[in-house]
Amino acid sequence: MIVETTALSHMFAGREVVRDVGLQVPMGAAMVLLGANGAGKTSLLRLLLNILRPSKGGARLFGRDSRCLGPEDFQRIGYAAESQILPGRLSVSAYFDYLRPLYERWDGALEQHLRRHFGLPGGQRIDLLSHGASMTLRLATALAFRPTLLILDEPLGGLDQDVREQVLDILIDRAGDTTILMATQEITDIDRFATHVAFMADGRLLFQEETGTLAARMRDVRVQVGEMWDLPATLPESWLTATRTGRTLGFIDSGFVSEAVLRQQLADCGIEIGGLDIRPLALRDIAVPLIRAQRGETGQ
Amino acid sequence: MTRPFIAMRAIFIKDMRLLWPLMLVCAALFLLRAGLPGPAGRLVETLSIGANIFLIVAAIQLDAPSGLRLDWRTRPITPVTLLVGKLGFLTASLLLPSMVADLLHDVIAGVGPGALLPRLLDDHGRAVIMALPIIAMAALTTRLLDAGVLGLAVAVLNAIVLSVMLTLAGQSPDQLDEQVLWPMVPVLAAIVAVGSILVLWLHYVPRREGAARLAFGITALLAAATQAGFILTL
Repeated sequence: MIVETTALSHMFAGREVVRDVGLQVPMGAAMVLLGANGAGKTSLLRLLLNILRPSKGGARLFGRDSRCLGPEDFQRIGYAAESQILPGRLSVSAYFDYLRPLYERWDGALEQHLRRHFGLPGGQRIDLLSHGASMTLRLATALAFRPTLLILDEPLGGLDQDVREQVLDILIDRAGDTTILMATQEITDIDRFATHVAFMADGRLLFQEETGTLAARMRDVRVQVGEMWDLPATLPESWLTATRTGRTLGFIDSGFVSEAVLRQQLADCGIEIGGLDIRPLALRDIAVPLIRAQRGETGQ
Repeated sequence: MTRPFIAMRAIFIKDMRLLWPLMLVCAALFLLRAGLPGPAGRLVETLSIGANIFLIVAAIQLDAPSGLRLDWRTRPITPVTLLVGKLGFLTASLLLPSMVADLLHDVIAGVGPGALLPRLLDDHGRAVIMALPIIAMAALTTRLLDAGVLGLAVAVLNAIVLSVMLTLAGQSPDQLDEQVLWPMVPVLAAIVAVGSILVLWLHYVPRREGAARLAFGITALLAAATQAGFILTL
């Protein structure tokens, strides 16, 4: 594991914003960390990077305690965050000039490629860049030294479609060579490069797994039911966002095993099955109900 | 060249690119200050002190040790490297130009070669000690305004303590000329210097921000208590 946390917790203003998180990111993975605003994603990433100190538990990156991370580790860790403060009055070129000598493995050719790809204007002051250009600058400076681990915090937030495509192209290009851990709420297109998904809510890590196994257990279910049927008061916990529209009951089954098991569950709930439609889900379609379900639980 | 040195040089160049206009203003004021006598000289002196404080705070806060979102936190730079880089920048942008300006002035004024070095070391040694608490205040805050408020709070606290003590000792501020206060200065300078260095060490080496704030508070109280104690013995 390139990143491993054990019962990692962090208190802020008397509240536990990260609670007992046990995250594991395998080498070469592209893990997307999902969760609504305030779920604890940013704090978790800051704990991993030794920006924040754990109040309990610990984190290891490359097998090293996150509290001991030093310059030699940051030679291998790229970080780009929407909230990162850059030296705004420097020009883009001057910022690259500043960073280049700091890294042993800075790749000048890759820097030029990234600057061209993102269309970063060398003479422009950083604080005068658009939001999209500013984010791509952060990403380019986090990638130009070919990091082993790339940690991204909301890199797609507020980007228009063109810039989003440019960012995703680069991430797809780097995935495999670089282990990626990306916290985001923007779930469009993430299945183009994600190999693993983790989900946080209210400071806790609810699950983490490979996208393949996640996709295998998640199904969009539509059940045609009898006319006089009422939605049961309690449904299985694995059924997310259950809604009834006319004679159709729709939900996401997050623990799908087989059609036979699902039919049995429906029967156990007293639901008479007129017709049953079970469809696999794209990662995006999985993430949306998960985030909505979490917002519902936390009252957001 | 070693990695820390490369990092310090990168920080130095970056800060120079960002702060060169202010550096020029400070250098110009040093030259003017050294050559202007009378009220005009005092005005330039005041402006020079203000510009120096502004440059110190700006340089430290460009890469504040406190901020969670600052770029340097996830770059291959240790806090100690950062501090040494900043101190190097301040030496080159403030201390050296000030020394050169004063040296030029002394040479033009006909100060003998034997007196040049002692004068320089004395004047600029005091300037360094006065700069230390400003550097500490800048390191404890992330914005110029916050540093200003902290500085003002310390100055007000000090003034209140002094006023109370002067009243208790039945002294008037007019009676306290430089000669009367002079014996207290080395003790006060030592407290301020040691306290400020401790603040910077706690903040940049073991990264204990809370302890650094506490050390700053204790230093301010000790400085005030020293002055109070001295006045009571007059």
